[in-house]
Parts: sequence; structure tokens; C-alpha cells
Amino acid sequence: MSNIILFLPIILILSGVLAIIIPKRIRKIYLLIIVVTIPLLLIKSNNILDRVVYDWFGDGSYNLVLEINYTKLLFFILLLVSIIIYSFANLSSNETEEPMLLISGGGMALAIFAGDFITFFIGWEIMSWSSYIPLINRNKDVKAARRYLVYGLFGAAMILTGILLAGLESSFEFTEFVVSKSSYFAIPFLITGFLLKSGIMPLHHWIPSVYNEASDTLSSFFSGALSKAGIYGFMLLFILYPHNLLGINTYISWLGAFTALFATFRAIMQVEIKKLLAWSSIAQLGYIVASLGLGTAEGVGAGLYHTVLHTTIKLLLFIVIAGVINRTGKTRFDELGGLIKQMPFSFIAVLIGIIALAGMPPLGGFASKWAIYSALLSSGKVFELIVIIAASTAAFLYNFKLIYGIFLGHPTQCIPENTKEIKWGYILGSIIPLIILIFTGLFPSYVYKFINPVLNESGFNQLLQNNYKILSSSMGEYNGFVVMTTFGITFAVILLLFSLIKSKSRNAHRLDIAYAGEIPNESYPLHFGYGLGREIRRIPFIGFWLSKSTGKFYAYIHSLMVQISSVVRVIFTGDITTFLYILIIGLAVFWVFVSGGSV
Amino acid sequence: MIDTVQLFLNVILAPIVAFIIAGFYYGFYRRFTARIHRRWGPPIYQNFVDNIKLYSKEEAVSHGLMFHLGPVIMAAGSVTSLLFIPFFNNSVWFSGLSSYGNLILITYLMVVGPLGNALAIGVSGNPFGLMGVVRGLTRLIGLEIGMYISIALLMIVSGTTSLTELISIQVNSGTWNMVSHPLIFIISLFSFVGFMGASPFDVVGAPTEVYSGPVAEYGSKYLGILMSQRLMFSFAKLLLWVNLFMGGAANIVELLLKTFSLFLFEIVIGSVYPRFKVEQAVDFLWKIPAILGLLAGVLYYLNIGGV
Repeated sequence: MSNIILFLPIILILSGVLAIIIPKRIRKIYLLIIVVTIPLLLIKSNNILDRVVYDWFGDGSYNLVLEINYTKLLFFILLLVSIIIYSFANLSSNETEEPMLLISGGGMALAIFAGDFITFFIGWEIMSWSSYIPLINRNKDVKAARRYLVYGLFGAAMILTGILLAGLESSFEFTEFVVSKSSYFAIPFLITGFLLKSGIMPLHHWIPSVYNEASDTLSSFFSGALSKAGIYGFMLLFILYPHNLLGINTYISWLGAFTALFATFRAIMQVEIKKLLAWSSIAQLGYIVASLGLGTAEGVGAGLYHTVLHTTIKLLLFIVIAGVINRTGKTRFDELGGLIKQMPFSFIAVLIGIIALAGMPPLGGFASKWAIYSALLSSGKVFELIVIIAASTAAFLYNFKLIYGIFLGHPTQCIPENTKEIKWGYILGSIIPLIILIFTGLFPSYVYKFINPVLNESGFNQLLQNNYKILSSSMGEYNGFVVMTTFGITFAVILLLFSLIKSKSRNAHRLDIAYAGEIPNESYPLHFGYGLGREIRRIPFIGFWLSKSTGKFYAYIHSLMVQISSVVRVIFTGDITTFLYILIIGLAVFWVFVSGGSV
Repeated sequence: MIDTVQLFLNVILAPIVAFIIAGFYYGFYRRFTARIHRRWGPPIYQNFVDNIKLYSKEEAVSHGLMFHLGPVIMAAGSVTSLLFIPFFNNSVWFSGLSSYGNLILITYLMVVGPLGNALAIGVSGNPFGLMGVVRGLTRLIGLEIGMYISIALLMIVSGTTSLTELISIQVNSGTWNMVSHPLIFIISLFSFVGFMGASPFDVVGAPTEVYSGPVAEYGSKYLGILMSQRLMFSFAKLLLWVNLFMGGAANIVELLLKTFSLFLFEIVIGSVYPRFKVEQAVDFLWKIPAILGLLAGVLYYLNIGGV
């Protein structure tokens, strides 16, 4: 039975190809059936760890290997949850991208299950081009697809260079990998490719426009699944190479911390909902990479914990936002507002999402943040911790902007009376992440049951936890169960006492607010959707960094190249007469050299 | 651990005692400020009278369920963060749930209050209140840097994130952290003044001057619960600083003396300085504590004393 699990990538890709010819009405049910049977297969198989080898040329020179170990299983489960939630939400949406989703998911599964570099690269490429195709022809931002293609090709070229360098003096297979001088030089290339996929600065430039351009439910797949392919690549490096050779990771860790800080500031400035979520994804992946780059068991464990939680939170947020956009047709904060009465479930779902995203207790988001901080503290990295704390605190602003701009405030272009709750597919898709978030809030160290085998395989010590309720590290303990029950009981008691107060509440009209002596009417612009948080530009330090952008940096390099090439243009003009002169002079020089001047 | 009856009593009594002590402290503050303004000022028990007045009003203007729940969330956040800070350093009484928590948890719980405030103001839709909330969140970016530089250095130097352990280290060694780590204490004082809502970092509420502020839409019982939770929360912050830097308190007299001295320091600074704008405040708080923190980090890594 476990052999079926091994061939799941190929089954997914083939079913994706099959889905192209299936009529569009049946595609949604088809996708749902396929993705729901996979967990059943996983549960029923009793011996998961397995391996299959395929001799490519028949003479044993190159083997294509598929294998499952606990690391691969963890990332495959993250991918699977993303696809399942996508398929639930897809039932209510109008998009028909199921074939490309299956092929992309299959490609990522192939890259995850790969036991040798060739299969890894094949899976990586399949994942990349099949996620590019749904971006074309959507007509919102025509450059987004091209940008994704160019960045994706650059990343793939880097990875290919790394793979070829690694395979020069060693076999491509992971189990027979030999660390040599050329494979040591492969590390920067491989890391660059993985950083690009994860979206770390300065290779993040493609993410905001691509997440905005993709269809709303597909953005959840991008953020929840595809960005984790880069994280899987990092874990692969930890497995293959001895850890003392991965000294570059300290610099990668700093890169992650600064990504978190600057991407958070950018997220606060956004006016489009999905771009805010995209910048938020970049920032969260900065936390993960900063933690993974520490190279200690605590750091890698905390990074993996945050990976799991980030996938959950972004799936929840993207799916609910997709539902809101589907229902209202508006995608900007200054076009929405005041929808809390019409969409109470969405409000509560987004509220739990932002509490977890901001890392506030009592939900699970705090546990992963605390694990990251403990890891940074026990490695003694105070300055990096300060940068990450700054990012964490600034994150409260964009989290509040997300929930205020859509649900609170005053209605702008969307008439609340005509708006209903989001469709049932989106509600169904958001239930699993909600349950996971509340569960990890109560039992924060349960996830370590899945992370410890991964740590073992990567060559780190395991972080054994005694009690699911308590998350312990070398710097102390966090009892999630006590915190959540305390908060709940305190809230209930205070609410009870507060309700016993005899004064009655009178509901005032929406426009009946304390407005400095005036009474506003409908024509007053009272919704703070566009500009909320944008005043951080006035803070000199933040405003300075916000005025610099990676796009302008690349444009600057482009203009440098143009200037250099215009210098070359002095000699190599486009004029044919210059070419004739050079040809004649060159022939003369050649004649002199060859024949010594004799005729 | 602690038995259930003791825990129950601790949890019930801690907010009440915090409310009473902070009520008198802020009563003293009003009288102190009044004397600076050459007037008499209200009696010291005036805060309790005001609070009871607010609760006994007949009617309260509300904007829906979320508006009703917002102050409750604020109060729950304040009380929960108070419960994880021990009052005394050597006894089980009033230790709340501090054995289950750690310092990072406390600092994060202190942000739950502003979140509840932000949600309730958002639902009411008052743009002035919203601007106040956004100012508050922006100011928080500045305050947390200084606070976390000092707390992180303290945690690295002591090797633990647990508050009870930090207190017991001070008690066992006999010196306060204020004396053995003076630079860290100075860095934390900048954030302390801001957290307590004193000038020059008090533009968020900017009482008596700016119309907009986070409490722009609240009235009667909502304003009452906001006032109550603000008192408990201020006492929690005073207690946190006393526990971190002044060795905790062994009995009630020591507790009152130490918290009152910190409170006096904060109101003296607040009475003298004018207020910064939010961007000036964040800029200042990012420059000075960061430079001092850099200095402290360098001193720590080179093993020179005085950190």
C-alpha cells in the first residue's frame, strides 16, 4: 500500500493532465474526489517509509529515486492540506484552474519525494511552469506573469547550476551523496534558488504582483504550498551537508530578519487586500528563514513550527478574503468597509487569523513566535532578535488594517444591505485551519511530535516535549492550555459582571458618532481604508527605507548596463561602414601576423 | 504547584488590590498635577468616585455587539497580564499564575488590550478614535524596541525567560538588577515612561488637548470599565518593572514603596516635558535606546562590566 503513496506525485500529474479534457462542470467534483482520497490512503498505509529506484539508462549510471522519510512526509502533508482546502473553496468559485493546480501540486510532490537531484529538478520545473499558466490572460496586470517567468527561470538556473556542481564529483542520489569541493561551491547557488522561491529580499520582487494577479483561491496555494518548496530545499541542505559547512546560514539568517522588517513596513502601505497578504507572506517567510539560519536544533525546530502555522494561517486568510472578493467584487480597502453585520463568520475567521498572524496569545501563533525568540536568545543573537521584534510589533498595524478595512468602519462602495455571507465552499475551506489554530493554542507542543523525527533526520538533537500543553525550550516554558483557559475564564467573568451593570445600552445610528460638534452625513468620507498606517512614512527611518524599492534597484542596475553597453557602442556602432573598416584592419593585422608581411 | 483554593483567592484578589492601589496612586497624580498648576486638586479618592459615577449612569450609547465586547476584551487582556506577574517575590500569596508564564508572554498579553480597543473603535466607525488607535499602534512600534532591547539583554544575561527565575536570581544574589545592570535599566526607562502614558510619549490619548484619541466614542459604563482596566493595567506595568529591576517586593510595605517611587519618577517626567508627535516619538525611541542597546551589547560581548 505504501507504494501507492510513493507514486502519488505521478498520479497527481496524470490526473491533472486528464482534467484538461474533462468537461468543466465535473472538474470541481473530480478534484474534490481525488484530493479527499489521498488522506485516506495515507491513513490506511501502515509502513510509510519506503523507496523506489528506477534505472534511467539501464546501466546503473543514473538512478531516479523516489523515497519517503519524515521530512518529506511533513512537507507533503502541508501541500496536501493546501490542495484540500483549495478544492473546498473551489466548489464555490468560478475559476477553472483545476488541471494546472493538480499538475503543480504533483510537481511539488515530485520535488519533495525525490531521492536524487534529477527527479528534484524535474519536479521543481513542473511545479514552476504549471503555476505560471493560470497567471496568463487574466488582464489585471499583464506584467505579473512575465515577471514570475523571468524570476522563476533565474531561480531554476541557479538550482540547476548548483545541482550540476554538486554532481560533478559525486552521485546525484541523496543516499550516496559525497561532499567534495565542487559540491561545497554548489551551496550558494542552491540557496539562491531556494531563497527566490521563498521570497526573501532581494529576490522577493515577483511575489506581490503574482499573488495579486492569480485568482483568489490560487493565491492561497501559492502562499501555503509553493513558498514552502524553498523551505524544503533548506531542510534538504541540512540533511545532505555536514552542518559545519553551512556557515553561510548566519548571513541568510540576517537576510531573513531584514526581510521580515522591511516587508512588514511595505505591507502596512498596501491598499490592495491581496498585496497586503502577499507582503505579509514575505515577512513571515523572513521569520522562518531567520530561524532556520541559526543552524541549531531549537532554531530549525522553531522554523518548522512556524512553517506549519504560517501555512495554516495564510490558507485561512486567503480563502476567506477570496470569499469576500467573490461576494462583493471589490479588492481594495477603500472600496469595502462596514461588512461586519452581513459577514459575521468571515469576521470571526479573519479575527482568529490575524490574532494568530500577529503572534498574540492565546492562539497558536504565539507558540511559534515564542519558539523563534527562544531559539534566537539561546544562540545569543540579540541584535537579530531586536530586528525581528520590530517587525513583529509593526505587524500589528497591517493586521489591524486587514480587519478594519473590510469589516469595520463605514461602508463605501459596497452596499451592506445587498451583501450576504461568503459562499459555503469558502466557509467549509476555512474550518480546518480554524480548528488547527485553536488546537495549537491549547496544546502548543503537539506539533513537535511531527517535527522531532524531521530534526532527527537532519542531524539535530530532538526537542523532546513532556507534555502537549507545555512548550518547553532551553529558555523556559510556555503553558498554552493555562493561558487560553485563563483568558477565556477571565473574559467570561468580566462579561458576566459587566452585563450585571444596570445601565442600558442604546444602539446609535452608524453616523451618530462623536464628531467634534458636527453631525456627519452620508457624503462625509468616514472610512479610513486607504490611508490607515500610511503615515508611518513620516517616521524618518521608516520613510527613508520605504522610499527605496527593489524594483527601482533592478531598474538602476538595468540603466547601469545600458550605460556600459553604450560605451561599447563607441567601437561597435550599428553602422556597416565601421564593420568594414574593422574587417579590413583586422585582415591586415592577421596577414601581418601570419605571413610576416610577405606577400 | 499551588493548591486550588489559594490559586482561586490569588486570582480574585489580585485585580481588586491592583485597582485599589492604582486608584490611590492616580488620585495622588491628579492632586500633584493640580498643585503644579497652582490649584487644589480633587481628593485622593476621587478616582473611585468617578468610576462609580460612570457605572451608575442610566444609559450608554453603543454601536453593536463588537462595541460592547471591545472594552471587555481590553479588560480581559489587562487582567490576564496582571495575573501572570507576581506581587511578592517570596510567597505564594498573590503570585497568580506566574509559575505558568514567562516574560515574553506577559509583554505580548499587554498588546491584547489595544487590540480590543481597536476593534471596538473600528466598529463604531469614529474616524477620530481610529486615528487615535493607529497613533497608539505606531507608538507601540517605538516603545517595544526599547523594552525588548532591555528585556532581551536581561534574558541573555540571566539565561532564562521566566519572570519568577529572574526575581529569584535578584533575591539570591542580594543585588537588584537596577544596580547590577544599570545600562539595561536606563534603556528600559524610556519605554517605561511611554507605556505609562506620560509625556513626552503621550500623544496617543493627549488628554485635554487633542480631540481624537482611542476613547473618543466611549461613554458611561464603557468608559467606566476602560477606567478600571487602565488602573489595573498601570499597576501591572509598575509591578513588572519593580519585579524586573528592583528585586520584587518581600512584603506590602516594600511593594508600595517601590511601586510608588517608580510612579513618582514617571509622573515627574510627565509633568515637565511637552509631548512629541508620533513620528518624532518613534524616531527618538528608535535612535536613543538602540544606540544605548548597541553599546550595551558591545560591552556585554567584550565582557566589560556595567551592562
